[in-house]
Amino acid sequence: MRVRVGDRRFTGTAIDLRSRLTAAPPAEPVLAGIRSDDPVALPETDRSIVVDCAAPCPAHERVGSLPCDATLLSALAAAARSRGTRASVADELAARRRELADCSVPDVDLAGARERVAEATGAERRLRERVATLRGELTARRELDADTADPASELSAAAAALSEAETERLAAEQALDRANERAREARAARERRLELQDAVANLEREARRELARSVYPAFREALTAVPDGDPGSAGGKPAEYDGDPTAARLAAVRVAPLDAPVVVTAGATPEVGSASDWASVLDATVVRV
Amino acid sequence: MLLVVTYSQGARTALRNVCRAHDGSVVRRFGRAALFEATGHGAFLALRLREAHGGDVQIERTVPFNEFAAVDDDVRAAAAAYADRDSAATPYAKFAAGTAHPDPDALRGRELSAPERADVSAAPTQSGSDAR
Repeated sequence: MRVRVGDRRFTGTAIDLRSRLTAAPPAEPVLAGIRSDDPVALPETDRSIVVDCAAPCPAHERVGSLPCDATLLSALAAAARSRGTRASVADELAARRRELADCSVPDVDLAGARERVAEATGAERRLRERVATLRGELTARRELDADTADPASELSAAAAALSEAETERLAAEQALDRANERAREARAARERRLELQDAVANLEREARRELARSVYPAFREALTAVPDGDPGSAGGKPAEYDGDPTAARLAAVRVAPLDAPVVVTAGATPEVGSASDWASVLDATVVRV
Repeated sequence: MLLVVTYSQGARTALRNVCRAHDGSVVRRFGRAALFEATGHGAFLALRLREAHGGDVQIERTVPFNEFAAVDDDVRAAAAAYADRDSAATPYAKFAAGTAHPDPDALRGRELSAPERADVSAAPTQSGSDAR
């Protein structure tokens, strides 16, 4: 592995930038450098870092940087995958994922149709009240022998408007009924999509469990080589592990077939020591920052 | 009450969170569906979910079912008679054949009478649409 920071160059399987540089870079740009062939700018300086190393495998995403917060299950599953192990449900999982990607759900917007019904209903009710009021006025005027020409023509206009409003309300209701039918069909598609989402999630969980268990014996053995690691605390499967969580992560790193370097941030507990101390605990190349 | 049904993982999780945080307005929860109180607050909770998750949230308004107002006597009588049948394995269609009880197709064609009033339990409120 070769690392260049600014114009300083380092070579080896365990590079300790923390002790070799006055200001070691943070982990992120180093990780970016591991993942890329290009120089990565370092924050708050005008220097960049270049890391020349093997390409990181998928497990590196999970356990390539310490401290890390990957769960034991996901770390071991990633390690198993990087070792080439394939879960028995992998084909089914791929098929469900494809189905899910092909799922299309029509968008049915009902708000406009509902608003139209609400407005039409309100307008019709107001006109009905107005017609009733005008009818009352007309009757009162007739009884008083007063002039009825104006109220009569107002009533006539209001009645015509009411008739139109009724028609509009009926049309709006029919349109909403049709939209509701379409929405119901669309919901059937959404439900199918939800079932697929749940199936994918369940299969992913199953795959993770299966993969993690496949490397569990190697994990148990790796516990003997890390500080605070106790193979007796491993139990038969990841869910039964009740030992030190940090020891578990270190053992998971050992299990993963990492070719790319692990970035260890100084202060990662436990403090194992120098980069080469870390390299022998983790059985990996190490950059300590 | 307001029936809220979710149709995606995101909407389902959001509904679960709402039910946990606002159990005062949540009458019942059934996994991906729930019944909210038919109050402004219940409506607000339901509409919030719809704003966030669109078509993945279905909102229906329920009324307690009054079978005496909604359907004719023959439907109630058929349900009671069928529940009381001698042979548990007999499907209703067979049970009703040759009797005065309505057959399933006829029942499917019947609409219910409209509900007289919305939620009995809601306090009377000012009608919103009159404010226009």
